[in-house]
Amino acid sequence: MNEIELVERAKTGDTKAFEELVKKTQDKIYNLGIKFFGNKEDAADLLQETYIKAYESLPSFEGRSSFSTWLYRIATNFALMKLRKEKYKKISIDEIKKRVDGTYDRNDLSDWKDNPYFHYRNEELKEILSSAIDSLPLKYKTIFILHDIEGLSVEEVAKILSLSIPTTKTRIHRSRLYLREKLSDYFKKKGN
Amino acid sequence: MDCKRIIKLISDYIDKEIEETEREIFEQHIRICKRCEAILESIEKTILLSKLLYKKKKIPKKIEKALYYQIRIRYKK
Repeated sequence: MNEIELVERAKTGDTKAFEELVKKTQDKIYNLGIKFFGNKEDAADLLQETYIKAYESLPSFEGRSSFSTWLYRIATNFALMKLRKEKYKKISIDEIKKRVDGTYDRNDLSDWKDNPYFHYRNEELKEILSSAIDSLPLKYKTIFILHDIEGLSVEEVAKILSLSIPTTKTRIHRSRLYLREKLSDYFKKKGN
Repeated sequence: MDCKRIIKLISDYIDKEIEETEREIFEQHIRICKRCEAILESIEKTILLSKLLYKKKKIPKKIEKALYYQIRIRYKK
């Protein structure tokens, strides 16, 4: 049975169909939770809240987006609500703009091609990147996770976050430039 | 097209959201401008590295069990 048929059945109260939908999507939502929170406990919370909300809201699901996109929206809203309460120090949006707008003006633009510290198994580099993603303002972090890590399209991300396409694209671009700058800082430090 | 405009288009280029005519101009520029080429390449590497930060995990059995328990409670309501 495909997703649309399962959703139709689940809407009529077929709990087996609903559980089939859960089974098909649960790993995706759990992994999304790990990316947002970085720990199993909060990811488990996100998982439960997402499916409980999905079950309760199923009668109003109109199928304008796919069931998975709809789930992503519920999960992302829950994550945003929870993360807003977090005390983790974020960098300001102004700082992001300042850093990325000046990307080309810097004379010390590093070329990564022959950089001995750039390799995909450099754990220190991964750590730097992971903290940089965490320090992004929430509206940037969310977009970066959904688009660049989860692989959702610009259109899907815009739908999930109720944003316009141009705003979504601007945030994707700034997040990337900012993270790239953070890695460049690391290379410069290592080179000195 | 100047370098600043090219940098603004980098993400659209990576995401294949760029118009055909702009894409041609963009690629021509990248072929001759080392700095823009370096920025494009480093952004692509940043994205790839970000993807590698997270290994796909299966839900631990305990968490899965708790999930279904919570869902099934709702069926009775």
